[in-house]
Formats: sequence, structure tokens, C-alpha cells
Amino acid sequence: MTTTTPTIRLRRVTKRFGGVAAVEALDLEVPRGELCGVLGPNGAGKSTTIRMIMSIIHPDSGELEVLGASALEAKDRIGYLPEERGLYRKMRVGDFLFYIARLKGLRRREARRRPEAWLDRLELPGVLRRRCEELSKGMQQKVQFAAAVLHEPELLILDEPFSGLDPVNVRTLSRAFREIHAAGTTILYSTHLMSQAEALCDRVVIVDRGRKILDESMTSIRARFDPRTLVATPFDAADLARAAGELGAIPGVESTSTQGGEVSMHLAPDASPERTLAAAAAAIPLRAVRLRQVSLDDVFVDLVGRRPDPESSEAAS
Amino acid sequence: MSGISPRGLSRVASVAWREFRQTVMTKAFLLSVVAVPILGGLALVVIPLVLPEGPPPLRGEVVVIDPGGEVGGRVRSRLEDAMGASPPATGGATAPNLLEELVDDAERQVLAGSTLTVRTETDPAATDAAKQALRERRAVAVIEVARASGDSPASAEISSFVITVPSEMPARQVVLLQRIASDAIVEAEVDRAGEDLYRLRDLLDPPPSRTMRLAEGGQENPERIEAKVLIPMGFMMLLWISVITSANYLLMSTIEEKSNRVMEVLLSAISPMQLMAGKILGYAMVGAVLVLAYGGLAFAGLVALALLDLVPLGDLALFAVYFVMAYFMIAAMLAAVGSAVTELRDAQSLMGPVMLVMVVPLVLWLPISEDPNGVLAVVASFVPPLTPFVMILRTTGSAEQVALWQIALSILWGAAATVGMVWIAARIFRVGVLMQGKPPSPIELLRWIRRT
Repeated sequence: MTTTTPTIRLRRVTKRFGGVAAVEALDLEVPRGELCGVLGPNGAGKSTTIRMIMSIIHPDSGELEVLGASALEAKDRIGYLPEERGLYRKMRVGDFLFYIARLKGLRRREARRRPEAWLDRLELPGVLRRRCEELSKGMQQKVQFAAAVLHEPELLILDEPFSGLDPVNVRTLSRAFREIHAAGTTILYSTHLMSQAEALCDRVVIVDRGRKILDESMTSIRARFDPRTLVATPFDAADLARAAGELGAIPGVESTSTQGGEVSMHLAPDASPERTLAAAAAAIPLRAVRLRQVSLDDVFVDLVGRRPDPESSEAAS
Repeated sequence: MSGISPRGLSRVASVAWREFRQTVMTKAFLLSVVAVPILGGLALVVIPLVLPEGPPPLRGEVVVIDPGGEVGGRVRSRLEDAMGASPPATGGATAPNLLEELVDDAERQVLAGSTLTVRTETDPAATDAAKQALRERRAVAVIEVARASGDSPASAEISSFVITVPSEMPARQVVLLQRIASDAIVEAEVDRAGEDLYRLRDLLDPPPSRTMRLAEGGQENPERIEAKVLIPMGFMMLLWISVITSANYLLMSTIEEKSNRVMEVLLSAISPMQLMAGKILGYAMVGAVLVLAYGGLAFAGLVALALLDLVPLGDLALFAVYFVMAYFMIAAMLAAVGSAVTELRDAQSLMGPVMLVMVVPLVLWLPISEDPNGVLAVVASFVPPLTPFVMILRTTGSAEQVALWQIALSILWGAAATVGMVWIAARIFRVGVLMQGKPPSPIELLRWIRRT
């Protein structure tokens, strides 16, 4: 595989269960070294896509390539944390990780050494000899994460890796996530947590009802979905209505709205944010004024919410 | 294909070793499956050997109160025999088996080293003095012989006897003294009737006999009822228990992996075929442990009973072949069942037909033992998965040799059927392991098998 070959490449991949298309004509390319997030509402086809990439299930049509071949031939180079994950309840953590490491092709000595190192890194020291059933859910999830990464894969695929974790564990896993990515590993992960995706991903793919509806870098998304809104916090929070009136009078401001002691100024398409910001500061005393950033939540709701439900469309027609 | 590449084989071996280790290296398995039969076998052989050599020797007199005065002398001669503790001489042709030897040895130890004298009192009034001697531990036993009432109690028939011993006397010594007194009284009665006890015993002793079976080919084979019925049953039960138990472990482990949601983690590292192969091989090793444990126990039993000649080496070799065949057939079926369900209770409906098949060899045991070369036996020999069970019944039980072509054909046909069953199971397994929810109907299972 050359350095320019994408790590994952899907061309018009379709998978149906019964009469329902879980994934339809999906194109996707994940370049080497990228951290790509797959977002979508429940039942969008994220897990099905990931299972097809892992060759656990096979597409009905289309082409699929992972690390230049099929995932079956590259299993040792892929780390995978499925959404439906579990552990052997009676098995000791060390034995479980050793077992997975051996299945992933590590030599016996390495398979013995690495689990302990990874457990320390994930702030789980001293659990090597404990049985899996003795661990809390969060601890079990970190053990499962260790199982996915301890063979140092070239490609890491994680299906909802943060679901069910408390904020402390989310932070621990996020840090490990970034370190693994910084070491050159390509990562594809699905999530419902927009804020996590926004903070971690280079690129985001949004799927809905089996189809891809967005595939862009975060920079591009921010530019394309720029809300063109300035948010001002007046000193005199008691009279927001008067502040909104004065700020609404500034040239280039189409409308204003107030919420939580702040005034949002929605700009006209041709208005300059920099000039409007300076005018606002001159118009009334302000504690702060900032350009509102687009959030992935907004994009997600905007895109997914805008798509008509095929069933209701059919009913209407 | 990754399944038969060195990496693929290594993965299969890893799965097999995990399954074996996680099953066998548990306290529950070691206690229930291995320790109990092994301890039972050891107990049979070892306990008589490690028992204390005998109770403490007795010293003192045995007082026999017998108005007729016929019993005391006979008790003395028997006690002297028992105290001598020398094993009776035996000829090679009539050597007792190990179990009998162990019993005789144990008996000789009961009065070994004792110094006992016998005093006979014909006056019943001496009873009180004898019991006083017993209380003072000068005497070790008082035997009171009661005679039928009549004009002359001294010559009347003996009606009963009472033996009184100190409270601390070990039970084994009491039992032996009772037997000595009883034998002495019987001898006295026989003598008084003018008969010779030893001649009577010889007359009552059945003569040695043999039953021969004449085969169509003209050769004569000795009939041994234990060989004809018990040995085949033993072989088949060993096969049945080890196969069912180990295949059942396979079923439970597959269901556990599905219900614990660990299956998808495994499938990210290995293919369903490698997983199934590893699991089947792992539990084959568990089955082999069971065979060694239970078979070893049976072997010890045969040695103890001096019946080892009933199991020729060829039967053991055939057992090994049929064990592999039976295990792979049943394990393939249960692997398919385990992969198709998510909960143990869902497996019950699919296990019904499998268990029905498994009961058939038990039902066929008697008719096949009666007629190992009959039509039923021959036909059942070629119906998988009954083949290995029926053939082991026939080959180990038939006085007349099972035709060599039938043995060869059963192995070839059985091997082909095994491959077919494993192939079908693999088709079900690769689809089933990813399925959740309600168990499939038979039609869905057929669809899974046909799916490419």
C-alpha cells in the first residue's frame, strides 16, 4: 500500500437487511493518519458500515478496501472496539488481554508485557489479576479499549467508544485517543457526542438513513456553516431590550435576539463581522463581544432535521 | 486462506488452549468431573493398602460356656488359625483376584499378634464368674452356648449362642469372633449328625463350568457374560458421557460469548471458522481428559477384579477412533445450536432433536448387545451420528468378530459424515454468531446453510 492509498475506501457500498437498506450507495475514503468521525442518529447505518469495514458482515454490493486489501487479510493491523462489546466475566483481566493480544498476532512475551503497560496508561493499575466481573462498567470499558489498541494497529476503528463513560474516564480515553493518533494511527470512530467529535476529529462524516449527507473537514464545516452571528454581553444586563434595539440599528445587522443576558446580532450576508464588531463596541458599553462558532450540534440538527422522512413524504404524496 | 496459514493455525491453537484452560483449570471441573472419579478409583485400590495393619492384639482368655462341651475345642483350633496370620497357600491355576486377596489380607490382620487361650465351662453357673473376669479384662470374650431344653441339656441340639465382649473391642474383632463361634457350632452340629463338614462343603461347591459359543466359521469362543454386556456398555457410556459433557461445555461457552457480547471482539481478530475450529479442538481436549479420568477409573477397576483380559488393545484403538468421530459429530451440532441462540433457554428448543438422537444409543444397547451382528446393529452402524456409539457396542461386545469390512466402512463413512456435519455446522456458525434476538426457525437455519 502506498502512502497515498486511503486506509479505508468504500465505493457505492450497499447493505440491506430484509427489505430495509441499512447502508445505501455509501462512498467513503479515510486517508492515512486521519482521525475521522462518523456521526448520525440512531439507526443511521454507522455500526453496519463499521461492521462491513471489519469484514464481520459483507456488503450486498459495492467495493470495500481496508489497508489495501480486505479487513480479513489485515485483521492483525486493525484495532476494533465494537458497540456491542463484552468481556469473559470469569476470566482475569490479564488473561483476557493476553488472549486478545495472541489472537492479534503478538508474540508471547509481548503479549504478556503490553497489557500491564496499557492498563497503567489508562489509569487502571493493579487490575491485571482481577476477574472481569469484579470491575465497574467504566473500568471494563477501558479494558476493552486496551484490548483494541495493545497490538498497536495501523487503523483503529471505534464504535461509540465514549458511551456510558463518566467525564473523568472520557478525559482519560480522549487523551489516549490523541496520543495514538499523534503516533500516526488512522482512526475512524462513530459517536453521538458532537462535542467529542468536534474536539477530536480532523474530518466528519454524517450519515442518515443509510446515506452520507456530509463528508468534510472541520475547518470546511465551520466555514460553510458559519452562523454569521455576533454575541454581545452588555454591562447593563437589566435593560437588554434597549441594548438589542441600539445594536440592531448598526448597519449590516439584520436582526437581534436576546437570551441569558446576551444579545445575538444576526448579520446580513454582505456585512463585515470585523466592522460590525467595532461598531457594536462603540454603540453601547459592552462587557464582551464575540463571533459565534458553528457547533457540530448545529450542523447535525440542521442537516438531519432538514431531511424529509421518506415515509412521511410518501404518505404526503 | 488465513484459516490454514501458520497465523491461522496459531489463532486456532490460541482459542483451543483458552477454551481448554478456562474449562479444565476451574475448581468446579476439577472437583466434579475429575476428582470424584479419580478419588473413587484411588479409594478402591489404595484404602485397603493404607488401612492400619490391624486392631491392637488381644490378650487373655475366651471363655466358652457350653453344657455339651463340644464347641470350646473347635473355637480354639479356629482361633489358632486366625492368630497365625499366615496366608493360605494357593496354586497358580486358582489364584484369587486382587480384590479377594485384599479381603483375605485384611481379615488375617484382625487377630494378628494376639495371644488368646480358650477355657471351656460346662456348668452354666460359671457365667457370672466369666463375666466378672471380662469386667476385670482378664477375659476377652464369653461365649454362652444355649441348647434346646430337654432331659439332657448336655446332649441337646444347640439353639443359639450369645457372645459378650468388652465395650472397647473393635468391631472387626467382634465380627471375626462371632464368625469363629458360629463356624465352630456348625461343625459341632454336623459332627454330631455323623457327617463330615468338609465333605459336605465339597459336595455343595458347584463344579467349575464353561460355556462356549460356536461361530459359523467353526471357531469356538468362550462366553463371558461380563464381556458381552458390561464391557460394551462401559465403553459406550464412557464415549457417551465424555462426548456429551465436553460438547455441552462447547455449547455453553458459545452461548456465553454471544450473551456477553464478546463475540464481536473475537471476530475482529479471527474468522468465524477459526473460532469454531479452535473451540471444537479445545473441548476435544476436555473430552480427552474426561476419557482419561473415567477410563482410568474403569481400568483400575478391571485390574482390581483381574478382568483386564476382557479389554484387548485393539478395542482401545477403535475406541480412540470412534471417540474422535463421535465428538466431532456431536460438537458440530452443539456448536451450531450455540451460535444460533443468545440465551440458554432459547437453546432448549433446538437441543430437543439433538438429545433425541443422543438417547438412541442408550435404547439400542440391549438389542445390540443381544445380537451384535443382527440387521438392526448393522443398519444402525451406518446411520450418523449413531455410527460410533453402535460400532463401539458391537466391536467390544461381540463374541463373534464384527466383519472387518464393516469396521473399515464405518470409519470411512463416519469420517465423511463427520466432515459433512462440521461443514453444515460451520455454515450455521458463521451466520449465527452475529445474530441476536429470537432463535431461528428450521427454515431459517436451512437458509443460513445455503447462504454463500
